[in-house]
Amino acid sequence: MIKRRSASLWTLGLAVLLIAGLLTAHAANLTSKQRLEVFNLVWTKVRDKHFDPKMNGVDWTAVRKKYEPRVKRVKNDNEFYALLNQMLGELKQSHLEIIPPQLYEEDDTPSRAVGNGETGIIAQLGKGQLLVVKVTTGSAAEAAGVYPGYVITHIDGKPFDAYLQRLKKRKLDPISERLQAAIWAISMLSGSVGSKVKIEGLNADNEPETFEFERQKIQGKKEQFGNLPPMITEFEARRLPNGIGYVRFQPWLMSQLEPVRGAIREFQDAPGIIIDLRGNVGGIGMMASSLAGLFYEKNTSLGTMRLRQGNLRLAVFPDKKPYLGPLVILVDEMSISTSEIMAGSLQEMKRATIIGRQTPGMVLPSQVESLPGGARLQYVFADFRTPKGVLLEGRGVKPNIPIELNRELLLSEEDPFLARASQHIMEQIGEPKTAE
Amino acid sequence: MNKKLSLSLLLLSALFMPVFAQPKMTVDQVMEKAIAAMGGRAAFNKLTSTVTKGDVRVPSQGITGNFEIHHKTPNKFVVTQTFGQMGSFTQGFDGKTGWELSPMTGGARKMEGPELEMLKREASFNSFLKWKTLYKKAEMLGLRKVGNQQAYAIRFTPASGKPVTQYYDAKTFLLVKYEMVIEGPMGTVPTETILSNYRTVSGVKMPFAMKQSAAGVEIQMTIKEIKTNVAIPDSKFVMPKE
Repeated sequence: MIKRRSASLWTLGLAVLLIAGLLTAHAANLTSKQRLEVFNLVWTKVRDKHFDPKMNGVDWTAVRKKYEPRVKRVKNDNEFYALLNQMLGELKQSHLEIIPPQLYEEDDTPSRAVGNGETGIIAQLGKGQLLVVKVTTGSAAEAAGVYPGYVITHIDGKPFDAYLQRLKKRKLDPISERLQAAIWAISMLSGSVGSKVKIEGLNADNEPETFEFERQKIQGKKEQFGNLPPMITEFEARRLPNGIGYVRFQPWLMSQLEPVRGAIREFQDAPGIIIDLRGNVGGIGMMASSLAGLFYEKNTSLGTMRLRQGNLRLAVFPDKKPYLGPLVILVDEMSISTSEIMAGSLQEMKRATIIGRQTPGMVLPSQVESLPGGARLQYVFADFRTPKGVLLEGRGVKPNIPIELNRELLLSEEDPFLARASQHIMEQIGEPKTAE
Repeated sequence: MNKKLSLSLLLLSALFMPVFAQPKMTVDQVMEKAIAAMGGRAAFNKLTSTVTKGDVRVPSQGITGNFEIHHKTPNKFVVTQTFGQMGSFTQGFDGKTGWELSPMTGGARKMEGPELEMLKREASFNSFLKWKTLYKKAEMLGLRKVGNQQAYAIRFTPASGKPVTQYYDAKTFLLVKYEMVIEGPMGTVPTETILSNYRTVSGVKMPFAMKQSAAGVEIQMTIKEIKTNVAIPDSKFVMPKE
């Protein structure tokens, strides 16, 4: 009995990561010779594994010639990883990144790239201002009195306006600009636990208001999948006052599947369900297929990943008791990768209404491999097309009901995205009521 | 002819010599030698069931797990792969119904189409002996290199579904590699599997190490234990109700 058994496509699918790396590098100690070896490894791996043998129209050999001499000139590993990221950036595609070794270090190591402390503030760009969009319940920011609609002008003395001016010079599209602004806020607000953060800005009356408080330990459970860096998982499910089911989770990891599935099954009698993917940067792509199965009564597909050889479909197998009522998915500029696949495909198939802000279009399926020195290389090996063949990479998901952020909106309602979603569902079922 | 050219010719002929030296063999001849090399028909026919346990790794991704295969004559089969953080993924065939159960599907899913046909072939106990009935066509492709060794490549084409190419070592006649296309609702992916570390279990040689490459990902399977002629209840292979 020779086992000619092939590992199932699930096994393969689990190795397919759809998560966006958004963080930058710090230190380590490679020798000059080791850096050259890592450089060659990265260049070769990307050449051999990229789904497009034409390398997205980029002359990859010329790229090597351009960057190889620079490896000898870098002074430390920070510069080296930055150089590699610059090289990978030549392909102008998502999910190509060096993840620095620091992100794999223990929780309380102060040298972590983004620190292990947080404020509980989510800030995004709206009408040229960095606006507090959400303050996490129980966070240090909430205790300090920070509120949605507050305008951040400085963090630890660094002016946001100066950063925005630098961004403008890069002539990015508006969605990329929003994404970069949100990442700037995350990196500036993060730090070691107990470190002080000073936030200066404008209150509801447009007068200066300053908050100073200590960063607290990041809330949520830390989890690591394969070669990805440890991530904090979040899960929330509740009924809104009008009976609508609300589910929020991140990232797309298998541990989230059962709680999310359980919550949606609990909401069988709800007038509608809202899945909140704001801030969800992705994870295991196959989990989107699984979640989508809860909303279909027939087999379908979220789309296809085209490999260098063959293709992988994100097949959707219906749950035994699928929920067939109104479904809304909330997105923003930090809804990336698997989140975009879920939102974009269900929107195209008219199964869900998408509400919020346009997503950035960072959708390419990737894998993460270890490199000598402890860093990881994230590289793409497939593209992704929706059931109608639309490439979401570089395009993103445009909401059916877009919401433009401005401080008046944030000051008037606790969560205008959620309120609009709830209103939409009640309108769909013929009951124009608001949720909260 | 100058010296350089003659050296090249010499080198070329040296390279081709091992190929020319191999006698031409038919599919039937290779398969008979392979069956004999792996223990012979009599040894195969003494087996009625196997339970195989081992580890599975996706080294490049840092993913590890284990697997368990139950196989019983004439055509009952169930394989479960378990990955710590992610749960178990099971595929089975009870002689009539092919099914899959995984955290992804939420409940058991009945298979159909090409993936069911493929599973049926895999479920056939001692399928190695039944190549003439499992495939409508078998073609000898000739000698091919597998690693540093020469191997006879045979393409088997089933009545429905894509062909499988098997490579039998030209010296030992053990199966050392096969290529197939996995197809089903989750896509179409060509795969290549290298088999090694053959050991004799109940008179039959079985590979204890497999490396499968698919979509640029290498999946390693290491067998730790194979038990033969174990009593396995038929219920083990039946599609779960929930």
